Formats: sequence, C-alpha cells, structure tokens
Amino acid sequence: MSEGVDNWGQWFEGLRLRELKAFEKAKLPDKDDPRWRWADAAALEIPQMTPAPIPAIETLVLAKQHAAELFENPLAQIVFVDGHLAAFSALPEKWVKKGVHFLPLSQAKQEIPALVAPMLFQSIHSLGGDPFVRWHRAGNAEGVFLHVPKGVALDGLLSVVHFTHAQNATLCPHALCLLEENTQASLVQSLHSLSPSPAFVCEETEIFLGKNAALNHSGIQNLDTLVRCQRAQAAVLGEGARLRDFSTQLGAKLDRRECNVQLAGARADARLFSVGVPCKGQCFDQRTYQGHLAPDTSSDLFYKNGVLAQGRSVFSGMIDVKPKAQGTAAYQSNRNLLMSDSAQAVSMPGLEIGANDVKCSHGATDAPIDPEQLFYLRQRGIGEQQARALLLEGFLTEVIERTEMGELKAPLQKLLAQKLEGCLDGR
Amino acid sequence: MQTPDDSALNLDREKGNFSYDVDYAYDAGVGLSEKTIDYISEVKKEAQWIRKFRHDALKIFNEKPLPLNWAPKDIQNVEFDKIRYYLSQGQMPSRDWEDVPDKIKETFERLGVPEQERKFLAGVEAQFDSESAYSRMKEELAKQGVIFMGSTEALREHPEIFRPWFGKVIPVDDNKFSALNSAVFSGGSFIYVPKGVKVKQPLQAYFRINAESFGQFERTLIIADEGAEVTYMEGCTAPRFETSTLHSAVVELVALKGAKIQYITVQNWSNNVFNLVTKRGWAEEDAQVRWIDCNIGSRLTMKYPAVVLNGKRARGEVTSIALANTGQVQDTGAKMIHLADETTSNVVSKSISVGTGRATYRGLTHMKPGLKGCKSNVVCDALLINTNSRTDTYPAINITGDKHFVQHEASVSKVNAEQIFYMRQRGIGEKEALSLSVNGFINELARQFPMEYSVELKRLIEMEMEGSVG
Repeated sequence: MSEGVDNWGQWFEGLRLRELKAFEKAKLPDKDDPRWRWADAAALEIPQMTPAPIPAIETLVLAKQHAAELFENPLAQIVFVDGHLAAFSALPEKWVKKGVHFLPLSQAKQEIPALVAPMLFQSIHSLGGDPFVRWHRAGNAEGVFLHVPKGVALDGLLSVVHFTHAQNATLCPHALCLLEENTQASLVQSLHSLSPSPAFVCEETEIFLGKNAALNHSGIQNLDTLVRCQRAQAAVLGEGARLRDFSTQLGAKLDRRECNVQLAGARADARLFSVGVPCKGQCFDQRTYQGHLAPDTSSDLFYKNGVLAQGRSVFSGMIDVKPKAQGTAAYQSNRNLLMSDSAQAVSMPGLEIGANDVKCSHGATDAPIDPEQLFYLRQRGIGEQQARALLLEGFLTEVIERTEMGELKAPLQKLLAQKLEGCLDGR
Repeated sequence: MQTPDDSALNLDREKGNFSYDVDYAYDAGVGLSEKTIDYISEVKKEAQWIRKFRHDALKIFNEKPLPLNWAPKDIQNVEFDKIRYYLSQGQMPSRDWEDVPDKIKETFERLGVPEQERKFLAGVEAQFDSESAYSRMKEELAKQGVIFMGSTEALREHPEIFRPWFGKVIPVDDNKFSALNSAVFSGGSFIYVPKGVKVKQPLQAYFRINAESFGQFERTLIIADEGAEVTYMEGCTAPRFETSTLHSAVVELVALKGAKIQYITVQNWSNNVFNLVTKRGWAEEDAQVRWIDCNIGSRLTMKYPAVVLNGKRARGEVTSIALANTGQVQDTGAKMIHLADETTSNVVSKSISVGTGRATYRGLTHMKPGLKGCKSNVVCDALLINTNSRTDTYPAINITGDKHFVQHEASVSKVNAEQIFYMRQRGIGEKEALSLSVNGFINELARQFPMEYSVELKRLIEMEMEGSVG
C-alpha cells in the first residue's frame, strides 16, 4: 500500500479523509446495542471536534515539570499538552543505534513514514466505540510511535504523558506500538490535567506484537473530574507473544475504556489488570475482549474496582474461544468493593466458547468492606476514615502486586492516596 | 433399577413421536389478526375485559420488534403468519377419563398420564393443542379450597381470585412473546392454594402438541396464599413434523407472605419446536419461589425463569439443566430482581453441549438502591462433549449499596479424560464411561428432581449422548 509514495504528507491526509468519510457513514452508538448496555447516557454522545490552540510557553514548562515528577528515570519520555508537544527526552543513543524508534507520532510520520504507514489505523476494535475511533482518526491524532526491531530488549520505562489544559479542548492521544520478533519493552501512557477545565479525550492505542515479543503496557488515567474520556485499545499477539496490560482509572467524570486483545498466534499469552476508584458522580466503564484465535493461548483478566459514594463502575468482558483455539486457558475475574450506600457496580462477565479442550472460567463478586477487618483496625486506634482507606488500598494493591510492574508501584500508590484523600471525606 | 416402562412419565422423545388425525371442532385457521382473537374469544364465550386484554396485547405484539440485538439468530425463522393459533375439539375439559375423546385419550394413555395420576399426583391437567382435554384433582384438596382448573374456566368462575394477579407479574408488554401469549392464550393451569394449605403431592400438567404448524400458548397462574405450599410439575411433548411449531407460554407465580411454590419443568419438545417462554415468580415477605427447569428438547428454547423478591427475606431459586444436541440452541438462564431487604437468591445451572449443539446461560441479578442485607449466588458450569460443541455465558449483575454480597462464577470444561481412562481401565466401555461421567456432572442437580423425573433424565441423557463418542 505504501510502496513508492512520493508525497507522504498527502498520503497520510488521504488516510485521515478516508476515516472521516467512514465516521460520517458510521452508525452512531446506540443504547440498544448490548455493547452499550448500562452505559451512561452521556457516554453515547459524540462532541464537536474543537482542537485547542498551542499552549503558552509557561504552560508547556509546567507540564514538563509535572511530568518529570511522575516516574523515576524513564528511559525516554514524550509530553503533550492538549495534543501539542511540550517536551521530548529522546531514547539514549545506544537504543537508537539498535534501530529502536520512540518518537512523537507526527515526527515519525515525517521521518520514517514507510514504517508508520502500513500499521497506522489498522486496528480493529469492535467493542462499541468504533465511531469514536473513526472520529479520533479523522481528527488531530497525536501521540507516540514505538518500534522495536527484531531481537532488541529495552530495559527501561518508556513514558508518554498527555495533559489537558484549555477549556473544552478535544484531544486525540494516539499510540502505535510495533514490537518485532523476540523483543521486549515497557510503555506507560498517562493522562493528566493541568487545569480544572472540561475537555474530551478520545484515545486510541494500537499494539502489534510479533513472535515472542513481550510488552508491558500500562495506562494511568488521572484526569480532572470535569473531563470526559473515551478510549479504545487493540492488541494483536503473534506466536508466543506476551502482553501485560494494566489500566488505572482515577480521574475524569466519565471514562470508558475498551480493551481488545486478539491472541492470534499459538501460545500467545495476555494478562490484563485494572484498578478503578470511581466516586462523586464518576463513572468508569470497562469493556474487554479476550479473543482466542490460535491453539494453546492463554489469557487472564483481573479487574478490581473500589466504588465510593456516588461512584459507578461498569465492567463488561468477553472471553471468546474460536473453534481452532484448542488448548486454551482463559480466566476473567471482576471484583468490586462497594464502599457506600450510593455506590453502584455493574458486572457483565461473558464467555463464548467454541472449542472443547479448554479451561475457562469467570467470576464476579460485589461485597462491602468486611466489618470484622474494620473492627480489627478500629480496635487498634485507627480512625474509621483511615481504616477504610487502608482496607481499600489493600484491596487494590493485590492487583498492583500481580502486575509485576514494580516501577509503577510507588507512583500509583501516591496517586491513589491523593485520590482517596479527596474522596473518602464526607462520606 | 427402574426400567423405562416402570417410570412415571415416559419422556422418551420416540414415545412422543406420533400424531393422530383429529377432526377439530374449532379451528381459528392460519395466521394472526384481530379476527383470530375474536374467534378465540367467541369460542370461549369470554368476558369483555378479556377480549379487550387480548386486542391490546395484539397491538403490542405487532409493534414490538424481535430482540435481534441479543437473541439467537434462529428466532427470525419463526413464521408467525403460517401458524395455527387455536385448535380444539371442545372447550370443556372432561372430569372423567372415560369421557375424554378416544383419540386424545389414546394419546395420553401412550404418554402414561392416567397411570401417572393414580400413582402419585394430587391433580392432573392434560392439554391437547389449545385446550385442556382432561382435568382432575383429588377431592380432599377441593374440600380445602384448592382451585385447579384451566385458564378459561378459572377466569370465568373465579375472576375475583385470578383477575387481580392476571398479567401483573408478567405485564403484557414485557416482551414480544408475552404479548403474543396474552393475545391468543388458551389452556394452561390456574391454581389457587388457600391460606395455610400445604399441598403435599405435586399437581401436574401435561402439554401435548398434536397438529402441524400449530402454536401452543398456554397461560399458567399459580397463587399460593399466605403460608401455603404447592409443587407443580409440567411435561411436554410433540410429534416431529416437517414444519416448525411454536410454543410460547406465560407462567406467573404469586407467593404471598410465607408461601412456597416449587415449579418443575421437564421440557422435551421435538426438534422442530420453537420454545419461547416467559416465566416469572413474585415473592412477598418470607416467601420462596423455586424453579427447577430441565431443557432437553426443542429447536430453540429461550427461557429465563425469574423471581421478583418483593418482600423482606423472600428467597428465589433456579436450578437448571440444559442439554443441547446438534441442531439445538438452549438459551436459558435466570433473573433475580431484589426489591426488598435481606432477600436472597441462588442460581445453579449446568449445561451440556453435544455435537454442534449450543447451550447458553443468560442471567440477571439486580439489587435496587437503598436496600440492605441482600445476597445472591450464581454458579454455572458447562460441559463440552465434542470439539465443535459450543457454550456461552452472559450474566449481568447490577448492584447498588454497601450492604450486599453477590457472587457469580462460571466454568467451562470438557469431559475429564482421566475419569474416562480410569473407567476404561476397569473394563467399562467408552460410551458407558462417557455417559457415567456426564451423569456425574449433573447428578447433584438431577437428584433435586422428583425421583421419577431424575431417573428419566438420566436415561434421556444417555440416549442423547449415543453416537457422540469418536
């Protein structure tokens, strides 16, 4: 498709216009569609595209400072404000020499278009948010391009940070990750806000893992509570590939995240983790798909929500085992801790099994804080508020531990503590 | 060991695969229109309010789309305008076996209905196409005030008891098929058990489709007054015709304060029957509603027995076994709606898919805001026999509040190879070993069926499994 292109600018513009056309023709999200069952009504609306202007220098500097505080010594980091590049600390020379690309998407489109073009916007999501994906692709999609060539194993954290800032801005953060055969990388994508302003974040993440490639991918969403967020992520795993995916939902008013994993090669393995803490009118909507297309593949999903007063969580997951995928092992677990009388948790775990030599199970639980545990802590002089916070933290930490992404533990615990401080009072 | 002939109900599908040419005295013809409904209403000499109820329901049926956004695709193949909606030989059920028309009597005799009654039933109602052909209840129950009769009779003779609950647990517009049933319902059982009366032996209905391209739309309403207890069993068969047949029942159960209702179904329709049934129980304070449901037959079954837990400490239970063989879709499940404090629900579902059969569990657990102390437990296990067998699980759980405990778990597995090896090693043939293993899988649930049913169930499963090895 991209052979012998003279003008890459035009080529990418053509791609964008095709997506725009597809968006205009797309059927809009529909509340009767099972993929939107029990979704917030507001989640179905597609807003007007209003990209924000380039922020002032001081805003960009502020963003750079905030981003620097997030993780200790990332290998490389790219920072955006309202979709505009604010800071870019590139990969050390050693990795560049090995042919690794970690660049802002716009830069990659200019410098290595032939590498970007074949895979950009090729992901199939199909968990309900497709019109949003079209909208994203037709808009100002900006973000990161990661390419790891055959046999290279990166040993540090790659970080991409998006900040919202301008009033009512629409952002389209994009990530395209291509990991070739026998590679290894860790990528964290964070969404934060510089100011308490409403905005609409419409994100797409595309992950392609070649034979025996291993990616640790995490997404931290800590947007301002006026922001609405709609995200779609799709990963295709080749033979023996491994994906660790970890999502944290703390901010935003409404955050819908779709996570589609296709285990396309034999023995591919995906572990999906998530923690969410919705409170005070927040709704976190999680839709997942574990598609087993090849034999001897395995997947394990572990999603936990600690739902506080007036918070709402929606989990809908599907394990789909195709007839070819004999020898599959697939698990799915959604556990919700309901911390208030006004907390709501919806859970729709699903199985569609078309092969018989499989081990598949799913489970969902909803429960309050164990009064005995609370009593134990209170008895030892810990205040009610603090005791509840501790128990919630313990509940969520189990997920963080299981991700085996040690580098994220401290930053996440800090964000979680901030969140609980703002949420648990005035229960 | 009981041989098939000794068993109370011969549920063997071959036993049911016969039909008679019957001269129907009343036939509403093919297709559905306002005229069909007027015809049914006139034949039944119904009160004006029932006729209006039917007409309103028809409008809703015509307006409502099929639930294509989630339902199995085969539902589109129901040909509503090719179905015969009412057929009967006369609308008064006989009280005496001798008075039943010969051909109908022959049918039920082949199926063992009168033997059944003599053996252990407190009452029996046998429906042949649209109307009850035979209805009888033991005298002592009648003396205690128990009412057990067909829908037409009951609405005519006891409107003061049945009308207040009729169409209340399942509103006409609940779904397209509840609307269809409300428009053309005929037959079924209406039961009233007075305060404190505990009916020890089960009441039973037997449903038989005899005519080709026929739709059976029975309507059942069981009211157990305060502290009353009753068990009801239904069985169904139809001959194998070339064209498809539709069975679309509405079953409403009302358990008032402290009452207990147990409703047992063994569904063994032939493989051309669309079985699209709405079943729901209403439980007041301290009441219990329990559905024991077994689906073996039909082409497509869509059935999700529900319990609305409306009073404090009410309890709802569903125990379900489904067997889907090649050409069959068993789309079954349970819905538990918690509307009061300290209500509890328990669902245990086991399904077996054989050949290219597809078994689906579809469920709902809902706890409305502002409640405390509710508990719900759902367990579904699926067993896949062949490499291309298929199973799906679609539960939905919607909980508000921090005073409830809810859990759902499901698992899918194939027949345990080690178990088979163990048995084969001890000289048990492969077929027998497989059948033993499958029976072991459902044993815990099968035991909860009355003895006669559980024996039949095991035998049926053995039969269905034949030829599935290799």
